[in-house]
Amino acid sequence: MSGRRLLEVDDLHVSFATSRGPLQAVQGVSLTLDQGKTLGIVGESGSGKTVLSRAIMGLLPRASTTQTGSVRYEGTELLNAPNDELRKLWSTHIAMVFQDPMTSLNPVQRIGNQITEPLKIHLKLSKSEAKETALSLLMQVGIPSPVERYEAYPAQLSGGMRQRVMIAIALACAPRLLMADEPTTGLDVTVQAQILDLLGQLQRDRDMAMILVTHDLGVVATRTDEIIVMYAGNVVERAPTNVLFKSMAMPYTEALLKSTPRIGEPSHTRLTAIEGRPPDLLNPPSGCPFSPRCPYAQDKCHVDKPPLVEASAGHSYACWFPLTANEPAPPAPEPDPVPA
Amino acid sequence: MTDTTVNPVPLATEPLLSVEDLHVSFGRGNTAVQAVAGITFTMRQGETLGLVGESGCGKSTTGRAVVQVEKATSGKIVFGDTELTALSRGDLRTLRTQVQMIFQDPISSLNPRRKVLDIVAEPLTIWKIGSKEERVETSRAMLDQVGIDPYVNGSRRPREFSGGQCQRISIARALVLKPKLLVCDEIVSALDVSVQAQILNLLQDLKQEYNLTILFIAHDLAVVKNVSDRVAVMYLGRLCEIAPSDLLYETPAHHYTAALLASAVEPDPEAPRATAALTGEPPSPINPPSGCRFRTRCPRAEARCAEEVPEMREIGPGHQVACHFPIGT
Repeated sequence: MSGRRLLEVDDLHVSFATSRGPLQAVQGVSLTLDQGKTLGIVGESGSGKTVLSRAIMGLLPRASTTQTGSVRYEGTELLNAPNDELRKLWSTHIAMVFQDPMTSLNPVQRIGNQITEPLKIHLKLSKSEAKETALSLLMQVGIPSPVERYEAYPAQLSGGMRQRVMIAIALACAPRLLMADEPTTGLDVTVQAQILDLLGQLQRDRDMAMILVTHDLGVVATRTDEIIVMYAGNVVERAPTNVLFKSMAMPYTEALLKSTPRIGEPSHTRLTAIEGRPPDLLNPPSGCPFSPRCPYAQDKCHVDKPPLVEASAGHSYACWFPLTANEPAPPAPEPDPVPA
Repeated sequence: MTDTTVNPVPLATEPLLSVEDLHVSFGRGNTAVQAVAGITFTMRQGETLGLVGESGCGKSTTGRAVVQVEKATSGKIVFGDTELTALSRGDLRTLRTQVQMIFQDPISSLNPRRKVLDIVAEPLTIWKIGSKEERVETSRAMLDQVGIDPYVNGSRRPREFSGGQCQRISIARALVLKPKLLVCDEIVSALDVSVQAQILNLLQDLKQEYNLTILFIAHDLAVVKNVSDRVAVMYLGRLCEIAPSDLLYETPAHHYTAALLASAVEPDPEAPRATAALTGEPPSPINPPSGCRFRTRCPRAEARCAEEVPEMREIGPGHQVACHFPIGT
């Protein structure tokens, strides 16, 4: 049943009011997601990936943020929608697995209560029905001896178990779209593999759409249909997963990949580090946000911000001098490094 | 300046560090946690030994025991020809100038009230090395070497720096006394990939320049492979396997090593997909399984594994494994 459009984000801007002026955390992001598909959002800290996912969910504080653009779920506008409208969609249509399983659960409520709460509120299940459903959910997410765990407090479970409980809560009301923000960060590799397998399997069983937000290109490489790469609040490249890894066009995507150590490479392989650091979003550079760190940057890059353009089917990037255009990067016509 | 004693002897002679049957326990009685339960390894001058394992396996405790922040319950730690475990507090303090540690959280391991130049100079001040001017000069040179401009940034405080820059400052502080052995405990796990690559490259360069011996503790298999000459894998307080890096990743002999490698993700859609090779989680170190500690999750476990603790044995040149039924035999 794939193919139906679930989510449409159009030119979304989010800025926070800070004492030093507005901070543009998300600067004009557009994306779409169809039923049953997985979208990966990749970026380093401060790239805006978490703010983007929270803006889609409607979880950002209204008082201190300005959000413009549009977030439509099955045609319904979510951006700046009243809370009680959003509450009708949460859990039953859109649910979220948060990054930190240590702090996202209520420490003074039993696991069982936390899973049955959405079932009682949204699906109006009776107490005994809710308990039955909760136990079957705990089983589905692979928690051993669910009857005992149902009565446990979060502190009595390990990190991996807590993340499974988070997933059980998110899935309780059978959402059609699951947002997973760094669902495996902080977990051990063997547990990470278990959680990713679990998410993938549940997604196939339920034909659910998923947004997987992560800093780790390894996590999204084999588990997404499409990937969006974010840098300093902007989408800098977007492509189907296999296209992205085969023919990445944006120098930042390449730099990110080359700075990641790989198990498949011999030890002591010299990593290609990205020099410098991400820009200060309160005082962003003019032109392309990556230009101060980009090895291929030319004068134009420091002055004009490249738009995100679709170069081939489904593959868009924001770069004046993409890597795929011509292998040796075009030599700079004017070699004087005059700052813009 | 200060490097005097060690001649540039080729590798593989006397070990710089040897750890023999190290035990570290916390608490007592039947709730005692055996964080490290009898591990043995040696490190030669100039090599980097990676120590990997999942959380709770005792890798950090091992590192802390090597620098004697944690007291060994039993066993020996010999550095050069000195037995650290038998030293008096005063002698240990003197020896610590040669053994330095860098921690995981770069920001909280620096004193927030002090200027970074003073932070880097403090070890020199404590040991009264050189005149005041010389100390400032040495510290400036050290900061410059780790990529922090001492003239622009020397009088700033840690909170004005990013995590990656704070980690550079920690490295400068650790190296300013020119130690022989450096223990790095998860030093890049809080950093973004692009910054992580900068720090790993920096460490590699400094290792060459100062002829450092590094115990590199981390959970990230790819990072450990990248920096290490040899890698040791730890599970629930014991060593499973030690081998030269490329060999270990190419032909793991212990079932736990193989499971770890199968779980790791690679940034390549055509790489074999990471699979959950293990189910469940490690048992409690308060009440570890009898025999081989990995047997409860091992696909190959037999009755013998429950009865007899597998000892480390050599199965190839430099390749040791603690398993009754290693892979490939």
